[in-house]
Amino acid sequence: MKNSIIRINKMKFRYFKKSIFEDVNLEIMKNEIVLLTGESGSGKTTFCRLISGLEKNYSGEIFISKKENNSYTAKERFMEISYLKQEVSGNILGSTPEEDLQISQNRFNEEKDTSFKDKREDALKIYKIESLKNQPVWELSGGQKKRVGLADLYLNFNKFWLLDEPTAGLDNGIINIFMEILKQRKKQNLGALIISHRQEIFADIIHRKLEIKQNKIWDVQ
Amino acid sequence: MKVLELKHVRFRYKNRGNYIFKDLNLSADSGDIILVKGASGKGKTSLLNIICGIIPRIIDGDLSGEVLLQQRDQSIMNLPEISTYVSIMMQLPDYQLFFPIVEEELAFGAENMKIPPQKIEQKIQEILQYFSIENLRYCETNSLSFGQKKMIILSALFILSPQIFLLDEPFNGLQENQIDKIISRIKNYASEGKTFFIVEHFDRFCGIANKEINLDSYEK
Repeated sequence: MKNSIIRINKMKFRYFKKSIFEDVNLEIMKNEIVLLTGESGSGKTTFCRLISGLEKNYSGEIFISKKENNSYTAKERFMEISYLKQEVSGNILGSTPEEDLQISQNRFNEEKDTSFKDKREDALKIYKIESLKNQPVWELSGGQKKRVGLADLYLNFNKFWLLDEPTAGLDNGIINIFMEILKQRKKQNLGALIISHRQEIFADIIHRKLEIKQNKIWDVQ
Repeated sequence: MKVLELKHVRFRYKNRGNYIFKDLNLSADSGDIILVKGASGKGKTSLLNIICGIIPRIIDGDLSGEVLLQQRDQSIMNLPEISTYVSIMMQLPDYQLFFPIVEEELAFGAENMKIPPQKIEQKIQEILQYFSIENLRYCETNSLSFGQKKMIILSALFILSPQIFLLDEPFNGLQENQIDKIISRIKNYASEGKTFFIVEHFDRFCGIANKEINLDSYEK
């Protein structure tokens, strides 16, 4: 049985008059780790926005798991996919890291779990931001904000990850921590779609490389 | 020639207990390419903001010590005056993109420096061609991707061509061939005497710098 997370049929998408995607067909499996490349402006971030339901005016079909993307509610889609945006502030909803992680835990789960607090502590500790947990987010540096986004992602360990430049602005120590987490996930057959211009970091972990070129998405050997 | 000096700089943000810098000293000569390193939150961006005067003029805090620009006291200069010597590329392009159309964005700084229109036109053409982004000239800045926005800001800086360039994570999100072009232009400008401060985590760029400041080694 095929177990795809993303299945796209004849998808077209344009911003006003500018065509971004023409007739895209693509399938990505739940356990696949895929690197998505392409020139600046080719549509990498737009692709993430389409998958995460932020852009709805496409034609053709985008299936997430077994359902068409436009028929998902945000909450249902979130159970399948977690999205780390390129702009660090775009990943933060709360006014402190602690509050942000709380929102992330609670907004999609009615019942509050007593283990939530421990999980938050873990996530903050892993990315070394536990000492910042009550600091207003507007006082954090770019790299610190990025780590809040990554901690948030860690709370959603079991979902398929959409990662737009996940390592940008991080020092090597944190990048290594992040790579360890990706490796753990790989062992557990948890996939991800990664956008990065630093392909060499991900060369050993990915199953497949894709490239956006001339409004289509191609497999790269 | 010394273009910048920081002496015993001490700084903390308003209403915060910890000092980011307790006693920071550095100097930069013309032609220097200086890599600013340090873990996140150690003050890399703060340092650039101090050099270009955003701290304390826009972002408030307790700043003491001396900042000398071209051997003159920077603290008594206003931002327009500082901007004739120093330009900054911020971490996020949306922080500083200002005009609806790319061409206007590129021309704005140069117009303010009273560069003649024909000269500005020449410079715009030259830089867009150099980065192979002529197609973006009449685009809405808003419609550009993250990487394209960064290329526009870098282009605007190169058009302005101040004595000191402050680049906060300039290579993030850019493709390899563009990075190579930026680096060769930086080297070029440095050989003509321009000074660069580059905040960057990526080891690959350590090679282009002739000096390094590691903010991890400064005590909090």
